[in-house]
Amino acid sequence: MTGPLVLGIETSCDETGVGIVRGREVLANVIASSMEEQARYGGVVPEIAARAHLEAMGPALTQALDTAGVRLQDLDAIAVTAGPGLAGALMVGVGAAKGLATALGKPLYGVNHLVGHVAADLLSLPGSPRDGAVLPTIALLVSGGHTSLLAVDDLTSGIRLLGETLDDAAGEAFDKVARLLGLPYPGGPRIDAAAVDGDPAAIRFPRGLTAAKDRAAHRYDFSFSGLKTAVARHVEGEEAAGRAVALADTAASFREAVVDVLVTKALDACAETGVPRLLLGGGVVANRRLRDVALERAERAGVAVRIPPFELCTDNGAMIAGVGAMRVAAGFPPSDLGFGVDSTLPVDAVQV
Amino acid sequence: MILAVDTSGATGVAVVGDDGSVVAERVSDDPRGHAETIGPLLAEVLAAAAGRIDAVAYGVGPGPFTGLRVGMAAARAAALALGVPELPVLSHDAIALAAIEDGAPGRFAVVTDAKRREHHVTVYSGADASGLPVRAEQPAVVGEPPALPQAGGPVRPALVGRVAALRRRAGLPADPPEARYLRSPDVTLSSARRP
Repeated sequence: MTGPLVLGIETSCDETGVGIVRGREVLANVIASSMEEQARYGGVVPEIAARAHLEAMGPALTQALDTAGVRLQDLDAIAVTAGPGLAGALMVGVGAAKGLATALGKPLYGVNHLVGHVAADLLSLPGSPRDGAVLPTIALLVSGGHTSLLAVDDLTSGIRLLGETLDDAAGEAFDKVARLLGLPYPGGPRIDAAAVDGDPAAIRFPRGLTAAKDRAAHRYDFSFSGLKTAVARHVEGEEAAGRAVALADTAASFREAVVDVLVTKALDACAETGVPRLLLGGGVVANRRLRDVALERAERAGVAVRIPPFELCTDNGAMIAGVGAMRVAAGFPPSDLGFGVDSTLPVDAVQV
Repeated sequence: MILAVDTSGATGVAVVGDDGSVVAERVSDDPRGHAETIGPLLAEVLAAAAGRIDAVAYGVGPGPFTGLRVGMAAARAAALALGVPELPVLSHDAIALAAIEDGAPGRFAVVTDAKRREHHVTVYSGADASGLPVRAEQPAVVGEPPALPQAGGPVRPALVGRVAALRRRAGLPADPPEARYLRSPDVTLSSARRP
């Protein structure tokens, strides 16, 4: 395979990612996570994430170069996540990227994290070539920091935000409800495990923003804070009534509510736009129930679902390098060296 | 030549000679905007050095964390890119060197703002044979500065470079590379509910 050789740096949340791609081929994808440090706090603490990025960056860069078997001097460009994400965390990556780019005299591309998640579907891991995403597609990005529904026409200019969460991200809701249920962080896998023998229909938790009255203004938006409160009320109610909380049923019913809303709105977007393709991305894609329900309902709706390999679904540097490589290949000029981070960078801004 | 970066206050970048003489120095007057400013400033001073950098010095604080990390991340990455050693420097040492070169007599304290009505303080006992400041007490966060003559910021990046250059020439080790946060991250431990 050929194409621009690009190193990508990702530090928008709690994962320090350094990836190297040649065109669409991933040569290295190193991910260092501060999740264990975050676990004692029950969620991502921005200052802890930023401190961890600073310490992890050097080793991650060195390891990625070793794995890829390339030298920094060989690179055609550097790419870095400029947003959206945690500002202090993003700044560590941008600082490192500017240090590399200026010392090497290489062009620097500040790019969009969410576009990176979509671009992940274009990439191939070593030894397992894949056909890249078929466009246009609807994309559902679900992680600890994001819950976004996107209409992707092409990756250079045409990404439209259809809707996003108005409060908690889906992954965040899993973390918060895990805490309510006395389960440790991160909540996703813990709730999955607790839900194994549970009845997803045992408790009818609310599906946020799915009522008829929300359809006009928030058809594709999400809200999980009401769901979290409903779980809290349920737990309190059971305790007040002197009953033990049925952990498996509660976990399964909560998870079902999240998955139901995500899949229903995503397939609604496919139907409304006439695009029979759905791309799933983000760390919550690791959730087995989400994948199963999405695949099952999509098949019935005649929608083809694509899910990139898991290491490209979670936050990673290869997807950022991938966006950079597309920008280079399409002839876009690099970003001005004076660009800053933008914690709320809109998804239609592919590059800053 | 040594490339020097310090973002413990404003964004500052310099190139100094092996004897610590200033070749180029750029300091932003914006106390924020480190992530933006570091790029153009690095590009400017590196153009002045024209490929003759053999080490990268950087200030490790103390200073506001978010800005401090930008310079440290950039400097470490630049050292990796150039294939040259890192020479970390306690940022207060640069202020102390300036005070000594201005004739500070004997014992004095470098005092910078730590916010929340506190100060970052490092106490110095004077200069050693190489003219480098000698720390009598390591940096700390204190409410009241000690009753000593005071020296304060801003940190000049060229003096971070000069501390590194003089140390290297005298065969002295650099400072540890870790950021001197001097405070724990502000977090409240979550109390897990037990149903």
